[in-house]
Amino acid sequence: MPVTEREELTTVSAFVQKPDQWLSKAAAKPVSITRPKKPDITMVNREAWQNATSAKGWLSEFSAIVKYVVERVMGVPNPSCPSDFSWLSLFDLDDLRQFVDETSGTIHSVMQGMRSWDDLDNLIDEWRRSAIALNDDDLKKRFEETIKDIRG
Amino acid sequence: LTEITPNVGWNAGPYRLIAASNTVLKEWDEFAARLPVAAQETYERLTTFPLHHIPRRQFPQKGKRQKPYWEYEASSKDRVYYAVDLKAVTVYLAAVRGDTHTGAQVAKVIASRKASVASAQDK
Repeated sequence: MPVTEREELTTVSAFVQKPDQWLSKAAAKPVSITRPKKPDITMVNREAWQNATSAKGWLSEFSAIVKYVVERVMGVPNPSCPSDFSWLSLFDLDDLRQFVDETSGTIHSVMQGMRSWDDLDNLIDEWRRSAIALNDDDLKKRFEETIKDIRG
Repeated sequence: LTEITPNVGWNAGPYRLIAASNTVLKEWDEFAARLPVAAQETYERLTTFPLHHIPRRQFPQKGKRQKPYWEYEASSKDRVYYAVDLKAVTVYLAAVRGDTHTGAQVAKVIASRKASVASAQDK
């Protein structure tokens, strides 16, 4: 179920009359029970709720990453980067744009229900591991020499 | 450039596997002696599907300075870095690294980077 699925509204009395029917509906899309003078209650598929929770956490983190990239692009001294992503400092601006493009595209796909949050975790891990290789001077030298050998 | 020959019982795919230097050949031999099963899996994988993306396991390096290299997770600690020449149907091994991606190594990378940034700012 996409995180952005529209809700269906019902009332307490309607819900009490046919609870099984409303629970079945809630499995497919969010169902909100309106209650006069009390907070409304929304029933939602557990997976969708977990996705929404992950989305909230990721969007918070992603906004901090975008802020860091913008500061790098603008040449702000000591740009602030989320501590878990300090390895982003190893990449240049072109790479950072690519990173934002890939992560935002994946987040969008997850929100549409087409991909999972695991896909985003995998993508981030591949960038992080590439950063480790990028910081390895011996590996960098090997890459350069190997390319020369391949091209003769 | 030295072709890596498969051990008895290994299945070779269509791609040739070439060690780009004596250093990486030595690293491969050490890896194959230490983890023969993982070496067989790596050999068969790279000579058969060198450009098949498996999340976290086999993927192209990110960042334009690291193209066209791929990383293959040969074991929990061992990583193989390689490039592919499609026309020559050849995979070139650039490095075989053990103990590269441990938490301690990651922390070391980040610390050294922070130190170099701080040093540059002092100047």
